[in-house]
Amino acid sequence: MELYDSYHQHLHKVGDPIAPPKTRWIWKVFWYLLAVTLGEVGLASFNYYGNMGWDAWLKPTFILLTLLKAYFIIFSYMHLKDERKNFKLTLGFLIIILGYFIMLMMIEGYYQTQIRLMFPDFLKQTMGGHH
Amino acid sequence: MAHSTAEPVSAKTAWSGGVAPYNISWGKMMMWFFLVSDALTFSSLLIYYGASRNTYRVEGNWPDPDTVFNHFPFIEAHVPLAFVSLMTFILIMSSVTMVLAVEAGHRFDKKRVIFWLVLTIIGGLMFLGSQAYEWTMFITGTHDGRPLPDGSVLRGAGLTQNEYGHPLFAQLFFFITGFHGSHVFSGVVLNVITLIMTLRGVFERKGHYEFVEKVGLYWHFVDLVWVFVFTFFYLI
Repeated sequence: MELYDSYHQHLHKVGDPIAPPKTRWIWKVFWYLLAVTLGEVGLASFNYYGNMGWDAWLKPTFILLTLLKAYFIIFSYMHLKDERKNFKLTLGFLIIILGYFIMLMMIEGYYQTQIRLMFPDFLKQTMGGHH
Repeated sequence: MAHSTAEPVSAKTAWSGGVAPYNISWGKMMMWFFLVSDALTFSSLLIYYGASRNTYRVEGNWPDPDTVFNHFPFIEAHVPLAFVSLMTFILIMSSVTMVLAVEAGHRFDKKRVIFWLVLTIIGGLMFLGSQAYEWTMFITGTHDGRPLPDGSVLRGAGLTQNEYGHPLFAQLFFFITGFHGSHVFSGVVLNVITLIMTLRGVFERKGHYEFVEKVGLYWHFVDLVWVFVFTFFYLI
């Protein structure tokens, strides 16, 4: 039971002096997250109020910025960078699968859009009209 | 942090029993595994949303989120993205206060843990209230509504039909944001439990504040999911 419990036992007795906070990195990451979020919102707002012809790389930019935010939150705030390398790989493998799914969704979604643009009536006939 | 993650564990003995191979406590590791499984669940929902959107957008039956979600409390104008950006900011702030609480727990600073936990709970409740506002605006609908073939006007959104477009749009909106909202709610409940335990001195007696850290992991996951929902639902 002790082995699988925390490793911080008996480090502090009630009444011991409390160390000063070391929070600079937390606020640094917060400013990064805020900057990235404002960038995303700004980009989306510009695109809404006037089509600037950015469409080709707008979606990948949003996704990359979101993945950047995810990196900050997972590695800094969830303390993953302090864990053992093998544990990071255990989770990292699944996160890579997730990235693969995101790409799959973009590719399949592109196909779905194109096939419906090319054959609008044909698909209605074969799919029984509902799709 | 007195983590002994820097100590090398011999590959021969790491998996022979009697040691923790990843040098991480059981509770924390299981929380991580649960979070990854939950991430895959949310991914499946978002991928379903992406597939539906691409399928029906071509027919012109899929609404543009910027024209649907453009309300802001106390403001009559139509401001797309403003309110949902505020919600994202609120949740990110609550994540910051949560990690500050965890950091205070590492230093055994009970007063600061309580302070930051209270702020995190307030942030979570503010987010839930904001989501309730979004749902209300969505369900109530616009003044014009959508004229139906039989002459009546359809206003608002429900699970079977909505004025904005294809039924799946409202169904997926309710399901994804509702599922996420229930995670935020359970996160707030966990935070309240943690706060009560901190106030009663449970962690001082135990000798460590790892419970705060585990609940913190859950809370950061909830924030992370919202970041992805925000991108795939409102931005793309």
